[in-house]
Amino acid sequence: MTFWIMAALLMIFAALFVLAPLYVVREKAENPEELDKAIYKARKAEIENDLAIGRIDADTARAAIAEESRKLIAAVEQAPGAPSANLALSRIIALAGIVSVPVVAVALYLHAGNPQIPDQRLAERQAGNLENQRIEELVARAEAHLAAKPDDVRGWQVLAPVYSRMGRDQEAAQAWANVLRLAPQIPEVKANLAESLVAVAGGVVTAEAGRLFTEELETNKASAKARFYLAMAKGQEGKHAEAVTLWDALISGGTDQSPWMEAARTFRKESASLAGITPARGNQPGPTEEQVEEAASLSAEERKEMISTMVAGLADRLEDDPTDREGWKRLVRAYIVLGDSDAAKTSAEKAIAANAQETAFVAEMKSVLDQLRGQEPVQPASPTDDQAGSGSDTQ
Amino acid sequence: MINELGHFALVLAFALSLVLSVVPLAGAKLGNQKLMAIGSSASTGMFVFTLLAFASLTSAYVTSDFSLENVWANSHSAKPMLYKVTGVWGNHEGSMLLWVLILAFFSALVAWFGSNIPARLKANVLAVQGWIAAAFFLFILLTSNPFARLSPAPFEGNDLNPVLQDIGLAIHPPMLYLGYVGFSVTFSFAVAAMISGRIDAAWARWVRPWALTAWLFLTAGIAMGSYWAYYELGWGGWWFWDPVENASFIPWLVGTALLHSALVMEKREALKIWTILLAIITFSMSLLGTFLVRSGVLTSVHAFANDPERGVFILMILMLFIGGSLTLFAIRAPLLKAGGLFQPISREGALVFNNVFLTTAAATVLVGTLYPLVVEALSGAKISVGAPFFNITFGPLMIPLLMLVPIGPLLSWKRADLYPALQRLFWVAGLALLTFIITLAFTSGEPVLASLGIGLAVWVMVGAFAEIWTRTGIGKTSASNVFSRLSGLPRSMWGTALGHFGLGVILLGVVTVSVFEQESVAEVAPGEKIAVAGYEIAFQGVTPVTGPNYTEIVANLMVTSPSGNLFPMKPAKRVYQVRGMPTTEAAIRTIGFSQLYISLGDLSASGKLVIRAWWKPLVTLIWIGAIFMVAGGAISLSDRRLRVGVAKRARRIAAGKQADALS
Repeated sequence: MTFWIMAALLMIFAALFVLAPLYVVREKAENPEELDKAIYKARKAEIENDLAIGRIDADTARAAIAEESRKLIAAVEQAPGAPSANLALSRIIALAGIVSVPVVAVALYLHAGNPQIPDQRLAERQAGNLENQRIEELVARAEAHLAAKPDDVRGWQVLAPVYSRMGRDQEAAQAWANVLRLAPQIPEVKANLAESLVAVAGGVVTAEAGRLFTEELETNKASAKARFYLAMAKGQEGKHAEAVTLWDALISGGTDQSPWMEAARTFRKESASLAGITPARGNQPGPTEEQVEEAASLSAEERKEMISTMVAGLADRLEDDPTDREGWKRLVRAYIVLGDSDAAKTSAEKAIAANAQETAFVAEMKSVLDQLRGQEPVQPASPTDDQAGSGSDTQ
Repeated sequence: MINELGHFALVLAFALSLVLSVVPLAGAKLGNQKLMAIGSSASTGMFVFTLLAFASLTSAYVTSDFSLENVWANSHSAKPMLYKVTGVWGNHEGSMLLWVLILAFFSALVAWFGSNIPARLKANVLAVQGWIAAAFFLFILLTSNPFARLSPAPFEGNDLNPVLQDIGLAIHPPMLYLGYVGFSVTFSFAVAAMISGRIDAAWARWVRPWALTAWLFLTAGIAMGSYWAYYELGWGGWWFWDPVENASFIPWLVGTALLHSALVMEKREALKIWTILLAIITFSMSLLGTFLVRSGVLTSVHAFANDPERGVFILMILMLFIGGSLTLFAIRAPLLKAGGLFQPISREGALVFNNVFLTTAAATVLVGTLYPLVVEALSGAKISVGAPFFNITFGPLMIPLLMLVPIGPLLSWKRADLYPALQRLFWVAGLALLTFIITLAFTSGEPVLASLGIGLAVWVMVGAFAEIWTRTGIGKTSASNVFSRLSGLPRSMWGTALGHFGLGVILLGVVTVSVFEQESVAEVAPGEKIAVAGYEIAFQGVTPVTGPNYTEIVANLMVTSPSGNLFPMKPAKRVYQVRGMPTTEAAIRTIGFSQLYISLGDLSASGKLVIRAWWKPLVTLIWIGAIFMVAGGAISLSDRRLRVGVAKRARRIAAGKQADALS
């Protein structure tokens, strides 16, 4: 709005340049002869000056003055008389002139202008002390730099944790992958890449991530990060006993000051108590977009809890509508991922009972049941990948 | 908001240019003084609003507001402040805005200082200025808008072309544009005279000062551009016959012809119609230059953007104005009254000679410049017309002209005897001949033409003052008499002498540097030396330096002169980080009028460096000569006689009219 007020003022100012002469200038008869005479006199003075400094002789000067007089007479004779002024037409033209200024200006400006975009001076944007803005700016600079020099290992190394902090996990993973490609010898690089992959998968240690953590441990036995996530992976596979062993090993190697200590103790407790305990049930429906987004911003434990809640919600829904076969599949997979194989078995049996006539579905469920009963290790890769896939679908 | 208000101001300037194009013209036709007066106020308004738009763009550059696409594409927050400001016109859009700003400025000058031009003539002149302005405002708004926005703004810009990050950008383009666009005024006067079908005495008085103003800026602009290219590009050349250089040189040649024919017209009312034609051609050549440089048909450091849409638009403007004015000339010229008669041997005759040679030279350069473009357009073949063509064609055309330079001013108007004029130049000719013989004797193996060239330079330089010498009667009359005559000489006579002297100085520099230049190129390791023209250059090693927006490798050179003086020179190779572009920073040492010029080639992995060293004898005379020419033009412009036509303020009219007219 301020812009349009200022623009209007400018417009009025511009129109004044057209308007003012109409009121200020007085009509007066102009006499072209006056100017011709003035010039004649100036020329005559010049000729006399030339004569005085000896540039021309007296005869030439006389001839020159005579010629100037002839020219003056010719000029005066040639001068056009002032045409009679047509006042009505003049007024129309003046009016058209004044009106055209705002009309042309506004029409053209509306076509090409962007009145809604504010000025964006660099100093002001930097001074705005919003932390996020500064980080975004730094990231934008680093991105521009790396776009020009994609082989700058140091650049990727600095940028990757910043991405993680901003929740841009996919980009963080890409950045670590670049570091790994350029300088595989850097310590913890595989663990860092894997950690980002876990974050991308919504907290699930995928097969790919698991492989990377294992590789990290081969060269860097002390890597707490790799050991932490591998213990978490065991829990997610449902092997709680093994998980507890790994957690204990990790916890005994750390101190209270270790940044991961608190989380490790929580996970250990969870793993130790998980077998046979069904997760608490809530009555929320399946994951909504907000929930998925929320999940991305939570810590691993909180995320797990949230997932449990959602799984319970799904189970409730299937109690009401047991013919939802895709729902059953998702529920069974979810229990497997959560490491609750008993609940997975119970659900698979319920699903078969409710959909006995669907042979293909029953066969699928039975094979899952066989795997669970036979204590065969469930491949964590396929269900978790599916889950990651469904997660990204909803987003 | 400042950005958008700048945009709005530009649109308002365009609206005012439309009013200016129509209303004063109608006023002149209807004899309505109020409407005619709108010409002056609308020109002022057009200038004020263009200035606002320009100031707004400058402010965006200074504050690194990358929400303007133009600023983002051509600036960077780390760029030094000077280049943030000059960067405003270091790109296509901004330089077009500067172009119209100067056009509006000249229109406003005509409005402010033209209080005693006949009102009808003034109204017509301003209307024609309005047409040109409207066309270029439209060009800017439709194809090259500097106020195009980017939102959200990127955090960093693309920086300015490193070659342009130089003090030269602060001076060269504004000067050149003042020259180019200054000729729009003489053009408008010519078209206005044809519209009214009458050339008043005032008309003749007005054309020369405007032509002179434009000419002296153009001269300064071209000379500055030449020196800039000389030290910045690192090739050691001062003129390349590059199409862009030619694009500014052609208007200069025709403009110089216009200056001389305007002189005849002012004094004698002869050559009126020819002067009108020259005024049209000069500005047409300026427009052509703008087209060649701005359309992208030429690739050079000047062609910032290559966009066919822009090229076609400027070509249309070109056709409209050149075609339109020449058509008007064809219709109206026969109706104009021809001026005074004169004998072939006379001052007028000499000036016609000057005009014939200058316009022929301009045509030659034009053909050499356009021929490759035409061939490429027709057959797709890329050919290049280089220095050899221009040396063969342009050089011989200049020789007779230069020989005549000292003689012309000594001839009297209307009819003259050649013999007394030559008699007065007897001593000058003797001196020139002596110089020729001495140069020939002291140089061996150089072409005789070189000695002839130096002799000719002396002829022009000394001969330039022959007129003043004879007018004051030095050696023939008493000292007090000489002094009183000297002070009585009109300033324009001093201007002529200085201008012609400057021409001789340029010639001397050009001939000397072309023939006697020495060059030495070698790849040297630290501790090794190369030699040129008796100067020993020892390479001591390199130092890396980090500047505000570049890094450079500086070569430490210690030079021993033939007389045993020691001085360091530090040429460098720079890389500007944002664009990753390397530039060469030559080191130049001026010794007398000559220069030692050193630039760097590549640094090899083994630490060896390619060093190119030139000894350029009297090279600075090329630009010093141009300074003399500009000074001559300025002195001539300040001549009191011209006040009949210029610089009379409105409040003084009533009281001062009589006094001024008589002075």
